[in-house]
Amino acid sequence: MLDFAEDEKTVQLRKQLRGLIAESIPKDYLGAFTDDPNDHEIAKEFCRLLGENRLFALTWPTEWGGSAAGPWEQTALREEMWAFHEPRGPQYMGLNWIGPVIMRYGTRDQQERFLPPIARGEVDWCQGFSEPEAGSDLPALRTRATKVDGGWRIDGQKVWTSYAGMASWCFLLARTGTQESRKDGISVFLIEMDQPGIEVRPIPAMIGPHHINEVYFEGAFVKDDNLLGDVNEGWKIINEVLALERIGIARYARCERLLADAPAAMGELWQELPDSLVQRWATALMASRRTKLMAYSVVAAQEQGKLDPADASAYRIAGTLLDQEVAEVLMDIVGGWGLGTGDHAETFMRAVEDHWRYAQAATVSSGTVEMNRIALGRRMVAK
Amino acid sequence: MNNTVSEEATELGQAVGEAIDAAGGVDLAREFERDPAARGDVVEGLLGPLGIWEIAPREDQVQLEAAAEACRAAGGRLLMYPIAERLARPDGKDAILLVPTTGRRVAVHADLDLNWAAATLRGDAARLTRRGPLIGEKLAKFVAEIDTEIDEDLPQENVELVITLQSWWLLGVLERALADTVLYTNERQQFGRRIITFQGTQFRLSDVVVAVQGLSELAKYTLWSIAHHGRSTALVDAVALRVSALQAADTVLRAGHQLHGAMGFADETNISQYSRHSQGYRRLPEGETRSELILAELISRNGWTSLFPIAAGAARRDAVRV
Ligand SMILES: Cc1cc2nc3c(=O)[nH]c(=O)nc-3n(C[C@H](O)[C@H](O)[C@H](O)COP(=O)(O)OP(=O)(O)OC[C@H]3O[C@@H](n4cnc5c(N)ncnc54)[C@H](O)[C@@H]3O)c2cc1C
Repeated sequence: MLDFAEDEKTVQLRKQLRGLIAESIPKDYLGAFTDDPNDHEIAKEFCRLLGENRLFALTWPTEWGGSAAGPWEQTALREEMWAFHEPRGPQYMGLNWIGPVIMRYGTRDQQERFLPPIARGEVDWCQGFSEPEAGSDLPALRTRATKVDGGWRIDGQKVWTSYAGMASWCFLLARTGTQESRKDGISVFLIEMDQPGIEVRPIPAMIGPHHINEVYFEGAFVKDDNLLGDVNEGWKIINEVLALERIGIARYARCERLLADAPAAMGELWQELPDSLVQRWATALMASRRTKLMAYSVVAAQEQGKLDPADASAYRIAGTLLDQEVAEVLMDIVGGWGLGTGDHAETFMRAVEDHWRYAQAATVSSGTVEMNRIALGRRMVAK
Repeated sequence: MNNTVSEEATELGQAVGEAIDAAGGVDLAREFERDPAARGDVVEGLLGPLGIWEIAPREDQVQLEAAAEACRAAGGRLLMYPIAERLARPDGKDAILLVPTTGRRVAVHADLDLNWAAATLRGDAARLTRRGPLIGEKLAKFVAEIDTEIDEDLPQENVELVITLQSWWLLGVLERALADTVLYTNERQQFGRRIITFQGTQFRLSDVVVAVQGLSELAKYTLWSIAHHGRSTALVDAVALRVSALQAADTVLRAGHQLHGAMGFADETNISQYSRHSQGYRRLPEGETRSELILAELISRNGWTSLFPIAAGAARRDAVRV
């Protein structure tokens, strides 16, 4: 029988999270990725606070500092964090997939070294996948790992690496086989960022600072103990990462929040809007709900162990396009204020401006909307 | 969270589908086009024995889900009969009709001689003062003229139910249109290949899948919502579902036509049947834009439930603006 009521544990979790956010995140906070270093400090502090309350690694097993919470609490956490501009900063990555794949593929020693600091909310990671010649076609990657005494030497270049300038560790894909071996010649390394052979160059971009960087590796070193899984067996791990990331960020949650805030935030101006725009606003509310329900159906299927990845792709198409559609509606609502106010009093206007800029990348980052259409389309071709 | 309907509901949907299929499936729509007066007796003979009119969707959620699955199965065979309208009948009536408040006064299936209640999409009660003959044109084989009197101060019971069940019927049509289009593009060859192997075709179809899956999830939520919320929330949610159904109908049927090529316009293909006969429900009682405006009006007045709820009246606007 249909049941869309939230269970009591999840309701309480939302309350607790909103309480913590209200206490420790400034009202005009728009995330860690700004030019103000204090914004990153706020995120780090918030992660530690979540860690203390055992809310950070909520769904991890208790053995690794988690609370073994179920998929619906995880969903609520994902929603609340994204709705409030991801006050965990870059750390969601460590939590959502880096930690879990280390649990699955790491040695006992790796688990003991890497998992507890992640669970305590103490460490920023970055993801070194994409390269200049390897975007959608990830198996074309060229960054090379060469065996040396006691470890591996890394040479090459990564690009679009989010938060590379903030991160102390990188989850790095490198070629250990021939270039032609494609998926069969890739290995995963957990590499320390603070070393002479690694240089991070920020890429100035419309989506804001920290989001995209180049990372150059020239004789960087990673010790044998930090190879994750077996040599040339990295693709299996990448597939696992993609499976863990299938639901992705809860973009619809911020859409719901900004759309709901609009009438009060606009005040008198709400009365001035044309009916056709309020009509688009109402339709966007419906579309946000619809997308959220698609996410829930993916979570439910995953919970029952019968998720078809193509259905996750369908949700991702809906979710990323929603983000952009809502961004257009909100920008139309705020009008000229959407071009930037520089005034912290105008929190809503700034949030809309920020949302629009970031939404432009929604259909590119973490796999383009076209790649998702390919995955979904393929399912319909009869064998 | 559970997004699957009860087994009883699924089973009833299957039984309804099998009964219609045994009588010709979508060909019944062709038969009814030739002889619209036959549809009352034919449908009675098909669905009556399944006990479908004994379902009381307001009594409990299992029956509500059964009603919805019956409508979806009927839509999946393009059954041109007011199954949603009859299942949503208020006490003492046979069926409930949604009527327009502007433009031409017409309604789908209003030719049928039933003891009709009537209402507008805003939820106001209406009285049918005349039921005229079927228009009978290509897009209006089952649409009849009516006259109404609307009482703007009187809420009509079960409006949210009929809006929701009609959307389930449309969902059935759209799921079937998608399935037929996938089948066709897997069979049709051009340039020595099945046309589904072209990326352009797959991309178009993937948009259709997204539209249908989204509508399906929203339809389930809305059903649950009208079972668990008071009238003001239920009405907003039902109209939101209708808006989603109309949007999806655009996406699905437009792509369905396009991917069938010229074949899709021939009466012998089902896609042309889905496209033509769903027109009544897509344009009436209010079309897409008006439905969206009414949704905005209802949200402004009644609020909206979400992770960040909008309270009743919080988005209120004093006057219409352009
Ligand atoms: C904000 C942001 C953050 C990111 N963070 C990270 C990160 O932390 N770590 C990391 O490794 N990467 C990161 N990326 C990179 C991201 O994974 C890539 O941008 C993405 O995989 C697409 O690759 P590309 O940009 O090279 O585009 P390309 O692959 O060059 O694609 C360009 C266009 O061509 C289309 N296209 C390509 N191939 C096909 C095909 N076969 N059929 C049809 N269309 C096709 C694409 O869909 C796209 O529209 C980030 C990107 C963004 C925007």
